[in-house]
Amino acid sequence: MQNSHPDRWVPVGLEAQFMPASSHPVVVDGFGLAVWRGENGAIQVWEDRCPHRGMRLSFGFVEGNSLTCLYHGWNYRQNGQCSSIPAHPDLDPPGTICTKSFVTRCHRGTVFANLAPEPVSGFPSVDEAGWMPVRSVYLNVPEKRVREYILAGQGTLGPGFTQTEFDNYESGPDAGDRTAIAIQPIDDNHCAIHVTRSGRDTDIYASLKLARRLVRARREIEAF
Amino acid sequence: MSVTDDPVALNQWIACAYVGQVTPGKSYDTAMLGQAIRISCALDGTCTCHEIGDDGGPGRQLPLSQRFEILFTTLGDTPRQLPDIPEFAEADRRVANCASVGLHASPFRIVENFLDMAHFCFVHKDILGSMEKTEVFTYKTEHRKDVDEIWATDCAFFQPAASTSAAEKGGGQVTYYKYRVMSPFSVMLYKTVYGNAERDDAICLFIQPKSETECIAYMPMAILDDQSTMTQIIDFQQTIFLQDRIILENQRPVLLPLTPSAEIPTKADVSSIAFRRWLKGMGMRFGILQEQAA
Repeated sequence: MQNSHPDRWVPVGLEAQFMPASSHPVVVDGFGLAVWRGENGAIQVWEDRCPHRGMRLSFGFVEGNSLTCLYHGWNYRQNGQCSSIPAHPDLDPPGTICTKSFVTRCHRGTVFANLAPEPVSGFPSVDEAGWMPVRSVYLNVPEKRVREYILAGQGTLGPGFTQTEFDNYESGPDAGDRTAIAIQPIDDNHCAIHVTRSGRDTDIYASLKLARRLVRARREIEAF
Repeated sequence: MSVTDDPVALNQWIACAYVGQVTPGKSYDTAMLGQAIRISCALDGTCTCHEIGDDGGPGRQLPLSQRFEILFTTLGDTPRQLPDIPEFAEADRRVANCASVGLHASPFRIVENFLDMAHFCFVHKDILGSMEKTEVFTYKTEHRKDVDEIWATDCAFFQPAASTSAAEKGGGQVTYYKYRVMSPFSVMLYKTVYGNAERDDAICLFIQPKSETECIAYMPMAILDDQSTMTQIIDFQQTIFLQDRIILENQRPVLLPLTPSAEIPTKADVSSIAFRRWLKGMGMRFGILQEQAA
């Protein structure tokens, strides 16, 4: 199948959301991804489809640092290689049996992936410390509407957001507090925003207050 | 939704209801291959079937055939005949009408799941397979040209609880299977009976594709079991099927890819390879992923 994804870094979720030894479905531009994390903490972003019979790998289970497909138990290492096929226990699976994987990086507490066949688009080589997860909000609007709302600066999130790399947004510093918003396009009518913050106030209540404002913002955006 | 123009799909007898589903005096609307249809039951119990016209009223009448506890109809003029299954007439068998289950999946993914043994240890863990014995031993597959059916024979799998009776008695055993694909939307298996080496249980799966991606599955069976209640028999079958449904609704792409490089089979998958080759050979387009020309 042709890979016609654009060369850009898209957020798939908050780093804190992906617990070790878990697997999650994420959709970007209508394309299904399985985002999973080994017990060693390493995050993988793969096409959500086992190469055997197409079962979604996001339904798979993680033990140690490998992901097992729920249908026939094919087991995959973090590098995407199939390591065992239970129907043939004596078979060493050939190297051609592997999942389709995409590059992934973390930045400001958010997990990003680039789905292009040959991603060359740059990514900061150093992450920034001190970014705390706030929450993700899933919206029934195209991403364009969220961008318009943020730049209009009228609603509960207020003004002061500027565009950053990867077409995301940040505000502040405002009394030392900064908010980062990363936008994930899900499909033509749905998107998600993943929000983290950094500041002197590391108390969770500051993040909870912002999380509540984000839920109010969703109502405003969907009516915008 | 509009009816398919694929003559291979149209010329099949397809299940549209189970016996007892439509109450006398009532009718039941459903769909087949994209065509809206209605099954009406008169007060004396006789049923008729019609296409539903654009105005919502009855259109062309369709033939109805009652076999194996199922009502079948066809949209084609020269439908492929379904074979006899003598087990359904044997007096000492329990004939279970397991009603129907709806699911969002391609009919051919459902057939392949039915033919597959490699998933027993995972999807039907501790019932049809266990993690101690996951190996699928080599079995035979053939296209029986005289009847134009796909058969898989010499299939064997160790099962902790292969049926209601085996589950109750706590005995694991090697179960022997034969699989038979009788038409693109109909498949059955014969499996060893717990404690009886001579005869097999017959379990059928008839699929009604409402569209390419939505189906209703009917699973009538004719089995040798004088211990279990009918409720236990039906519960067992539905448990198995609902476990499979989780998989079937989450396979991608939804339509069946026929290009060999799309999905990677192993020796355990020879029956599905034969099935896909058969579908390709008969020119089936309905439910099949049409690849873009490069």
